[in-house]
Amino acid sequence: MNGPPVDRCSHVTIAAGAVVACLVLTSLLMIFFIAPTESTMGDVQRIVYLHVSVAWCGLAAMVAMGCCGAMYLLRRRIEWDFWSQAASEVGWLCATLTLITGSAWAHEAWGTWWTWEPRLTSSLVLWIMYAGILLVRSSIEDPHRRGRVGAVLAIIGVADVPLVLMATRWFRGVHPIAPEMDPQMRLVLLVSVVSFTALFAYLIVLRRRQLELSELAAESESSASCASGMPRLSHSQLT
Amino acid sequence: METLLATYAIAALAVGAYAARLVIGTGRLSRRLRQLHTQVDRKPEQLPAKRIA
Repeated sequence: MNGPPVDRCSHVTIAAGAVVACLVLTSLLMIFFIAPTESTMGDVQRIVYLHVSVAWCGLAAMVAMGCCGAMYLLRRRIEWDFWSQAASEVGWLCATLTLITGSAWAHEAWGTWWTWEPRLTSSLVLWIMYAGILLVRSSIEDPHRRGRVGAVLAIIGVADVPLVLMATRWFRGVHPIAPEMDPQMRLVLLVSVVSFTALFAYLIVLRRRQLELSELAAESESSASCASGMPRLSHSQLT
Repeated sequence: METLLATYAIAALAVGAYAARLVIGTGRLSRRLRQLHTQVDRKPEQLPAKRIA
């Protein structure tokens, strides 16, 4: 019999984690020490590098979730649902950070933490969708039913993505559209977006791996209990 | 400057907590799986007498 498929990916995972950590550290150094200070807002403008990166990752995670949901509905393979669940958790984290960083920036730029502006409102709708999907998923015990419902909700959620992206162009609001930036600032923004995308993609892969392991552990648990007569652990006890 | 540092600190805490949860959870699952595989691989005569009975 082959050994457990547990440590097969561990070296690759650790190496990828080290690369991602280096990327994030580089981007943080660039944000704080290389990016020039903006003349009107001062240091607070540096929030933008994180805000744009997490906002982009939040939108990308919703699209990824929708694609994985569609694949699950087509193929009915639980692996696609693992990807979808992992993307929903990381996407919710990104959407939450988008609202927090956006509010902090707005407080300094507009003098208010929140305003019912089209871009902000559509971003809040995105956050509510993520939260709703996570709540509905957690309330369904059967994995295939959870996968089906999650997939349908994710596909509905994707409809909000173009609304968030185009809100500043389709409706009048106060959110900046595409402000002119110093070339050095643009470079730092690009590095931040790439490194934070790598970080959140890595978290999705880790979470997906964890879900796969919990499924494997549940299967092995039942084989072991048959072999030795030991009491079985439930799926929730393993995760 | 305080707003900037507080924003980055909140983000670091949130992402760090989630990553730590993933790493710890995966480690625990890996150990459990290894333990279960050892258990399944054992022949019946190697199992404790109480369990065979």
